[in-house]
Amino acid sequence: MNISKMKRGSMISPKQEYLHRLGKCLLLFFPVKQVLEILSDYQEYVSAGKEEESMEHMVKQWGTPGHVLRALLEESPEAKRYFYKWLAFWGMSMLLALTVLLFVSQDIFLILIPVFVFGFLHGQGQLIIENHLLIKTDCSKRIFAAYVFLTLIVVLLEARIQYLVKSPDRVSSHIGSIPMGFVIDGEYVFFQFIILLMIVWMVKKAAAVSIRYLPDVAYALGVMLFTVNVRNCLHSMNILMTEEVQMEFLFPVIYCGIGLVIAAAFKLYLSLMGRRRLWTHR
Amino acid sequence: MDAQIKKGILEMCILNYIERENLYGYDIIQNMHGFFPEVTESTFYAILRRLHKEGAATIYEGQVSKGPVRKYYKITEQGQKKLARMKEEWRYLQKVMDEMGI
Repeated sequence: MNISKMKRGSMISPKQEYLHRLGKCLLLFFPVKQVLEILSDYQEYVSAGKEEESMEHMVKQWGTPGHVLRALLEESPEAKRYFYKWLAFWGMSMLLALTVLLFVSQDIFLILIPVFVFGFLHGQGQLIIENHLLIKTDCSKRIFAAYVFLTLIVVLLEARIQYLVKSPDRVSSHIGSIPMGFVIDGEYVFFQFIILLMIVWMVKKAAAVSIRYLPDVAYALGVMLFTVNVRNCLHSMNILMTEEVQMEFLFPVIYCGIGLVIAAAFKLYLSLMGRRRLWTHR
Repeated sequence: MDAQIKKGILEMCILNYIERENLYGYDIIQNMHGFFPEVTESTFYAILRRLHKEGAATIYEGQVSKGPVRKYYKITEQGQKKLARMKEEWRYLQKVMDEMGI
């Protein structure tokens, strides 16, 4: 393991990165409090050995975080039981969501609920470790880019629909031999697919890296609902533009706004939690 | 070294060390490495945590002349009883090995 190579764009030292990776490995097998105790032991060892041994020497002694985890599991048989309990619980939750999805409701977002909850709980552990190790991952630029990208999609789709509604006589019925309705529907399907990929990626990141990605999931879900509803509105374009129909165009934008408010509130909650250091082993 | 034999011996050795003097993790491990170089830090720390969890050792925070705060391990009364019992068992085993000519 080349521990001297820092994470791209991150501001953490190789020692911190090693301990961070170790903490993430341990989270699956030990409760957060115990993970913090283990990390404290290694931090103390690293700081005590500063003068005599280099980090490379220490890693050669300890091995990769995976090796350390295996050694700890050998000495702590209860850790495996903890892992299997976790696995059983989340496996059952996913199975339940899948069953409901197949036999009760067609809402595909149901399957995201256990994944979301898992990401939240597991991401909490990640955040506690990051606070303990005083690590700040440089994900703010990527998050900002995600917000801008999603907002651009919203603006583009909304502008598209406004143009179609207000200037229907300027819209061609075909592009080549392809009907315009097919093209527009294809655009929305494509954007929905992109957003769904982003949601899955963000949830995975939240579970595996940091809870800080979860607010973006909330926002992305709002955008997703927006595109779904705009498509539904487009399908009913042939009816008269009554006030009710005009209101229907407003609701999709509201969904997006709600997603943004939830995301902002969550981010505020996370920043307050980080400052207060509510969870600490001391 | 066989895992089962190692487990008992290492615990006894660590308890014996901290009975003489309160030590912090790094010092304990460095001393133990001299006798058991193949045993990793993870194993030693796991044993120290187990001893603390069982009540054989307590942890307190100490500092040496403006240095960083460290966790020191101190043997408890329960730990002393455990160590005495382990030493007795070890002496018995030694006697059995001697009689068997091993």
